[in-house]
Amino acid sequence: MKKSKAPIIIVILVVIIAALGGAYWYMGHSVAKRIPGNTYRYQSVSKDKTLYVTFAASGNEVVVNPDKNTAVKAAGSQTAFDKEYKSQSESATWRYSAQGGTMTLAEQTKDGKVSQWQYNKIFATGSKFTSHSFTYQIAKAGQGQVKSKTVFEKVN
Amino acid sequence: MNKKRVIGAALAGALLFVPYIAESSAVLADGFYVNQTNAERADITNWVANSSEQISTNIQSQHINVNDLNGSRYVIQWGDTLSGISQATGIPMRKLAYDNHIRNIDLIYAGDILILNRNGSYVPSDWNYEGHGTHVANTKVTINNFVDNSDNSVTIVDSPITVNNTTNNNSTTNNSSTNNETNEKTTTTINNSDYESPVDPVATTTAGSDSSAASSDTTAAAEKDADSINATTDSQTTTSDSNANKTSASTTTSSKSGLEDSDFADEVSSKLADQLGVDASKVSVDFGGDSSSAASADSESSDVDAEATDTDSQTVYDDDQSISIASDKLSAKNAAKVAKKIYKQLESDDKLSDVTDADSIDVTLSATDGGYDFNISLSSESSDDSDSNSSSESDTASDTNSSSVTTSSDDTTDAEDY
Repeated sequence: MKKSKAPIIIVILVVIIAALGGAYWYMGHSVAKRIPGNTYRYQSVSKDKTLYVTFAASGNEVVVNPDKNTAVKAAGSQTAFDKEYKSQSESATWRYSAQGGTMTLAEQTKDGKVSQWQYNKIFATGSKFTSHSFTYQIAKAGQGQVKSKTVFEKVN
Repeated sequence: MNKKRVIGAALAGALLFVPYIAESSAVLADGFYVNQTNAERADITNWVANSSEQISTNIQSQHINVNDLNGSRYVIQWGDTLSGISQATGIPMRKLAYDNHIRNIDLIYAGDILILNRNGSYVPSDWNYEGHGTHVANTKVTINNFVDNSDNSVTIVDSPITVNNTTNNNSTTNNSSTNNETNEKTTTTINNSDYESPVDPVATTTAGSDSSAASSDTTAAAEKDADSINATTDSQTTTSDSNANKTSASTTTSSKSGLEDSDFADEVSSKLADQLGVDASKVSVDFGGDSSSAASADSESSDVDAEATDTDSQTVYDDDQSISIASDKLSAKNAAKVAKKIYKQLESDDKLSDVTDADSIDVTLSATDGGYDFNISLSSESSDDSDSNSSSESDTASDTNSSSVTTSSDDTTDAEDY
C-alpha cells in the first residue's frame, strides 16, 4: 500500500507556478507603488542620451532633468523636490501617472500644449522597471506607439 | 608638361568638390532626420531641454570651436533650446536671434542651421523678438507611428494632465478627463491636428528612409509600416484625401495648412529677402493662389501679374516661371522652399543682380498643381523701360495689390516660424 507521490508533486508544482505567476503579476502591476519618492535614470532608445526622473513622494508631480545631481537632489526631501519642481515649472509643468502596468509622463507647456509618453507593459523590480512599448503624443510633433524596450533604473 | 597636366587635373577635380564642401553644413542639416527611426525621434529625451554642457558637447562634436565663433554653422540638435545655445556659446540670445532671423526664439527646429557669430554685426536697438528661448527644438517632420489604430490617433489611457482640448475632430475626441490637482486617472484621446509638426514634413520624408510615406495615403502607410513616417504628408492631393478621411473636415486653406495666404506670402517675402540679402521691406510677395489642390486644379486664377502696381516697374520674366514643390501646404517650411527656388531660378537665369539692384521687388506668386508660378516685378527710380509682357494672364481673381502685402509683411514677426 504505497501512496503515490504524484498528487503531492502536482500540488507543489501548482503552488510554485501560482507563486511565480503571482510574483510576475505583481511585478507587472506594482510600478505605481515603487516609484514615488525615487529617482530613475532613463536611457534613450538610441542610448545616446540620458534623463533622470524624480517622482514626488506624494502627488503626481515629477522632476525631469538631464542632470543627475538635480534629479537626485530633488529626491532628497520634499522641500528640495518642491524647489526643483518650481524651477522646472518655469518652462513647463511635468506630472506623472502610474497605474497597473503603465506609467505616463506628461508635460504641459505654458501655452497649454500637452505632450505625453505612456510606458506600457511595465515590469517593475526593486531596482528598475522595464517597459515594453511606449505610446506618445507630442505637441506639434506627432503621436504613435513605439514597440521598443525602455528601462528606468533606480539611482537613489 | 606632364606635371602641368596632373596639376591641372587635380585642380579641376578639386573644383568639382567645391560645392560639396561649401554645402557640407547644409547637407548635414538636411540629413538630420535621415536614418532616424520614429522611436528615436519620439524619445522623451529629445523633448527635455539639454543642459548647456550637453549643448557644448553637441557643438564640439560638430567640430566647432566655441572660442572662435565667427559665423560657424551649428546644426540644431534634439533638446536644444536657444537659451541653452546662448549659454553654451556665450552669444547673447538677442544676437543669436538677430543673426539667424529668428523672431520667435521659442520656435527653433532640430536640423536647422544656426549661425554662431560672437562678434560681427550689431543688433539694432529697435529689433525685437518674442519668447524666452526655453522651448526645446521642434521637429520638422511629423512623428506619427500608428501601430494598430486605423483612425490615426493613439490613446493615452492613463494621463495625469487634464486636456481641455477644443478639438476640431469630433470623431477622435473621447475626452473623459476631469482632474487637475488630484491623482485621478483620465482617459484622453486628443485631436490629431495638435500632434503635427508645424512645418512641412515632406522634405524629410522624401530625403530620409521614409520615402514610402511621401506619396502614399497616410492611413495606409501608417497601418502597414510601424517605423516609417506617415506624417500628414501633404503631397498634393494626398493630403486632402487623408485629411478628409481623418477629420471629415472642410478642406479650406486654413484647416489644411499652417498659414493663411497672407502669412505665407509674408513668410516667402521674408525668406526671399534673406536669400537675396536685401532689406525685407524691399520685397513684397503677392500670393493670390489657394494652394488646395482642388482650387489649383480647376483654376489658373491666381496668376497674379506684375502690372498691377508700378508704372516704372519692369518684370523679370516675360512669362510666369514655374517652380515645383512637392507639397502644397502653406507652411513656413514651404515658404522657405519657395523662396529658395525662386532665388535659385534667378541665380541660374543670371538675374540676381537686376533684382537686388531694384528699389522694390514685387513677387507675384500663385499655386499650381505641381508647385507655384511666380514672376517678379522690379521698380526703381530710374527704370522707365517697363515691360508688361507677363501681365497677359491677369484676371479678376488676382486683383491684390502689392501695397497691402507690403504692409502686412510686418506681421511676419508673428509667424510661428522664423
